[in-house]
Amino acid sequence: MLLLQLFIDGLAAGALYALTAVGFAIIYNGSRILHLAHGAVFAFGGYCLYVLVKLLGVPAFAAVPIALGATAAFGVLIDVLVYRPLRARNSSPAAILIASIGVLTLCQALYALFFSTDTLYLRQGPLPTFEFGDITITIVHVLAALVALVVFPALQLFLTRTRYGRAIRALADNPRLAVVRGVDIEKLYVLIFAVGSLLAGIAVTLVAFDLGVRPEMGFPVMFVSLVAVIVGGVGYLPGAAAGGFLLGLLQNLSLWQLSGRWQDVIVFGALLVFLIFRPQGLFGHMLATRRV
Amino acid sequence: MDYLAHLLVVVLIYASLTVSLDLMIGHTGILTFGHASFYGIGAYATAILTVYAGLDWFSAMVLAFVVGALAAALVGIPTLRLGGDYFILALFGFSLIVISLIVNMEWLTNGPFGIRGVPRPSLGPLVVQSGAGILAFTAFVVALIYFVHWRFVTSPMKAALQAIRDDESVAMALGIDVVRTKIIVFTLGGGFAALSGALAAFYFRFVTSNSYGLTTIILLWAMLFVGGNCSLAGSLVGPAVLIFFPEVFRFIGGPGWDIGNIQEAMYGLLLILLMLFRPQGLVGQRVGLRS
Repeated sequence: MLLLQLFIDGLAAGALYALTAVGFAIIYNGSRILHLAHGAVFAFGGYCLYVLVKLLGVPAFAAVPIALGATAAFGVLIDVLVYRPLRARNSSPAAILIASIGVLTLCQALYALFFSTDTLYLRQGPLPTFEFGDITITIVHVLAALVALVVFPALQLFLTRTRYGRAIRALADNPRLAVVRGVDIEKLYVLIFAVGSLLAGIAVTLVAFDLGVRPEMGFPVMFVSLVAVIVGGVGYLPGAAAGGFLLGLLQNLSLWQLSGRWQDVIVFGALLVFLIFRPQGLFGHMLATRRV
Repeated sequence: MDYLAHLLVVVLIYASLTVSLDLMIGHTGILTFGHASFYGIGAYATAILTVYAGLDWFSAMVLAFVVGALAAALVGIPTLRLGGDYFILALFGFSLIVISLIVNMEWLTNGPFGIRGVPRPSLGPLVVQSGAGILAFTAFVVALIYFVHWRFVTSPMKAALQAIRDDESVAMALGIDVVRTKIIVFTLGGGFAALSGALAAFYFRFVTSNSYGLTTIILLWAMLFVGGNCSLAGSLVGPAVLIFFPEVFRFIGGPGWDIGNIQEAMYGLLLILLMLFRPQGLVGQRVGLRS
């Protein structure tokens, strides 16, 4: 029974990682930017919700869409203010990575300065739960499942059936060819940062109402998502989602035998194992014709 | 005066870390996020060997170097073959694992409480006690590290390192064994970082897991890029600026504003602005950061 409970918890955590991982992968595949500031975007969404719900008293159903829009805009802002000028100056990937770390550090410090380093809660009391014998399912479990069932098919449709979605995939596959075919790259960067950040915003909404917000809340989630992208296979979005679910399950199922403090070692151990023995990830063979 | 000596010792320890980081990032183009870990491994090795095993300071320092170099070789051999972003992630993962191991292996590291009471170095009857004494000791060891570094980057190997940094395929075509050279540099860098860790352990007489995590990695990168790549002077200027400048902020700030957070915000902003407007840092060379 404990195992089943851990499995359910793992799926819920996995849905969260899958959302951030796919968001990260959309940005990474298109721009090749190791966008570590994605963690700061994630936390930004959380603080937006906190300001709207707790400080301004906006009801949750109205606060969530506003926060999602603000989070997407924040991701785009980072690209426009930081990455775009660096691209214009022909900066190396290393310089862009360092600037990204700068953005992450700056944002986390600003959150801490304005909102303190404490965890801020959006609501009091325990979450509504459903009991099935020994198994407890919280409202967050249900919402995570619903969100995953709605968002991933919608995203798949967007990427395969719409003009802009196809342009995003073209950019990821072959940037030069995309330019030749008349894709406006700078406009497309705005789109991938908006979509990627929006997914982070959706993920943080699930977390913020459950566990509250902290300045550095984004970093561990962002890093696990990065690992998920590697585990799933760079360049293949469903792989990133699968990697997210796999890591969520791995983290929670490991609690069956090991104490929670070993979770970091397990996740990052998995990263090292994959990087060294299977850098193409689980679904690497699907990329046989693509250059990663 | 004692406070100034304290700041100088801290600057020197960071300068020695920056110079070994520069060897990897600036000269060879190995973008490593593992430096703080080897620094921590050196500090913990020194603390464990002196406090638990009762070794003298000199043997502990030499062994710390060996342990750091071995750890770097062990990590570097499988990971240095990986392409750019993969290597960065592998080392990120490695440093998070190291922190987790330090916190969780209580039998060896005393867990989150750290290890206290690292002895001060001594020469015969002469124990280095005063602020000036420990400053002189640290300065001597750091000068040694600088000397070895300077010999290394002025040796014939320098050209090979630069070739690897600027274009790996060209380096390979020129007959340079890229992976082997990177492993040598990485091993040496790990050893030197561990040596800086030993200096920190002797100075603070206390080691704890908080000092070797992500914050330190970012601080070291900021120091390297403020000072500038490929520059002995830069590796001293960067730490000096970043240690002395925040002292100004001790006297200003809003109510409840934590100096640590102001510093962090400053490091972050500094990294962004440097990459945008002066990627070569204050006194460094303009290499590697524009393609």
